[in-house]
Amino acid sequence: MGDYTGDIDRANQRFRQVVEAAPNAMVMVNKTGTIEMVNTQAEKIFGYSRTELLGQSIDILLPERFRHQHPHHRASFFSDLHPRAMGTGRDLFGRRKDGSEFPVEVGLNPIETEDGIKVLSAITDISARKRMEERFRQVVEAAPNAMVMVDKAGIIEMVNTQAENIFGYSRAELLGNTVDMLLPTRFHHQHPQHRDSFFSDLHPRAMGAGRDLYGRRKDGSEFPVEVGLNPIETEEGVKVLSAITDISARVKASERLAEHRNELERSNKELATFAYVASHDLKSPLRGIFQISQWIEEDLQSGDTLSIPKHMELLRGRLRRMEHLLDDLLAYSRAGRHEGSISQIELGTLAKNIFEMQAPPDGFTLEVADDLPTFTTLATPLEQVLRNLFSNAIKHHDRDTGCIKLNWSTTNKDYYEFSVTDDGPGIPQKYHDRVFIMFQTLRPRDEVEGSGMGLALVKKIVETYGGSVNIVSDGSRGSSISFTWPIRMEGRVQIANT
Amino acid sequence: MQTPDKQSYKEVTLFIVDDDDIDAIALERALRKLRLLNTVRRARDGQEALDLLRAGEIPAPFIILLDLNMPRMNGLEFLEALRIDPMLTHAVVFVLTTSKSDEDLVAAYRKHVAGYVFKQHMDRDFLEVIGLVEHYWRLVELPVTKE
Repeated sequence: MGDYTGDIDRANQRFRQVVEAAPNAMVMVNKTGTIEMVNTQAEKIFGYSRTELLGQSIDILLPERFRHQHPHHRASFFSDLHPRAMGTGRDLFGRRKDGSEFPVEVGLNPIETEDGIKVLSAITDISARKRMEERFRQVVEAAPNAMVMVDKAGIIEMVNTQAENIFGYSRAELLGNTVDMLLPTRFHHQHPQHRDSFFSDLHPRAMGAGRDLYGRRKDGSEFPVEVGLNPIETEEGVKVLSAITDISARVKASERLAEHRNELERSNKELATFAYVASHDLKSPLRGIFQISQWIEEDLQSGDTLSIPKHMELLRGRLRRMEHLLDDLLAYSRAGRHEGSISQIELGTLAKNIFEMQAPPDGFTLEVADDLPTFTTLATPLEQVLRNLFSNAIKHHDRDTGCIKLNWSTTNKDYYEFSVTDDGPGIPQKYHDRVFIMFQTLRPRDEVEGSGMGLALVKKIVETYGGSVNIVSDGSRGSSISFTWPIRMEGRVQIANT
Repeated sequence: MQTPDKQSYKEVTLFIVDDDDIDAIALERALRKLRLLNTVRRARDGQEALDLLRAGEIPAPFIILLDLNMPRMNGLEFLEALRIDPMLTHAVVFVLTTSKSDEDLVAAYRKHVAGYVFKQHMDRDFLEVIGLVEHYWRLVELPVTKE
């Protein structure tokens, strides 16, 4: 009998030693919530001495606001006895003797004793961990980039204010949803696969090296992004923390840079061409004038006055040509600068006026399509284009009568296509490129006076506004020169001005 | 300007390829001043020159005086076409141009021109050039064009 009692005492003794040696605070209560045993850790974290605790209600270790629920929770534990964590999903707090609170985790174990069933609770002070978590949250929040943390299944677990800002969603809309909502729909099918491959080889890296990445805002609009991926180990497994940067501004800046570079290259090339032609085509009439003046002088000396009127006329012709070349060169160098203002034009009427201004010889007519559009555009450059095309068609015509037609179509939603068709001699295929080069003529200037700038000018103007020029002609009869012109000029003027 | 073959020395045709009327007149005047009666033919661009040559319109032997800047087919393009044409490849060509560009000069010599003459003042230069060409055709045996 004595042995039996001794066994129990020894078992009790051993149990107390185990509890005492536990790294956590341990508190054993009975069914009514009275504290029957504590260890040194419990004294330490709650700030009470053992004597102050034993025999007291467990409620003294709880913040007052939780005390009224506690008997109810305790009763439910005693009705379904198995070891479990206390208060899953709720934040638990302990209360020290001085009234201060601290976050805890509590494990509950039912213990059968001679006096009936007791509950042994293991209490861990998790202040340090909570502080770390809070600090992590603050770091994420303070990051200059949008930060989004997702779990293995792609569910968003944390975001910062930047993420709310750039995607246009509120935090509440994001948390718990799949990260796919931040991606353009066309990328959805690939994303799980990419995510899996990231989780199978965990190291920080940039997302989608070599691919252009886009984010999708709440309103459905897209924007270019750069994404850095970092694996984060947490108690609930590995998460991915992505740092997302909106690079719209950078992309736009580099596009602008490329635009400027192209423009610079074009204008350099133009300058080189200009220098070359200026040394030829502009000098040539000057040489002629100098030459003729010498002939006149020689002829006067030798008394041969018959040729003088012819030479004088030749001389005046060169002067006119020089003036013409300079005018057209100036027009060319100015082409593409925004001149005039945007106004509504009735193209049919405008075309007829331009045609009449050319003082076409009798026998020349202009036919315009009935339904030519009325639209709002920069009238001056469009007039310049039509004037040059009409004057070319008249000037290069090889017959006494001719008919010029102006037609149109809409090639796409942004551009009209206009065509000026004549029934003149046509332009052979092999000259279709050459005619657009400045100062290029297909016939000697002594036969058909012309600067050779007309089509070069047309091309430059049309291309300034993003259009293109095209020739259709088999070189046997008639040619049709078509060009595209923006339907909406607003917004393009800015580009032309820079 | 065509003249009957009255000269005792071998008659050479001067074939001027130039779009500028004044250049053509200047050439005629220079010939008259030098009292030369050579046949002069003219084409206004490279294409017309090729057409005339291929049609046998230019009496051999001939010397081509070639401008570079011309409509339709310029001087360098003409040289290109001339040198790959087996019937015309040995034609003697002097380039007479206002172009001082090194590129043009090198390109012309690459097509084996007999000389590249920069014309600044037409009349005086033409006299010198015609003088040069006259000496050239008197001393130099020109290729016979017939195969």
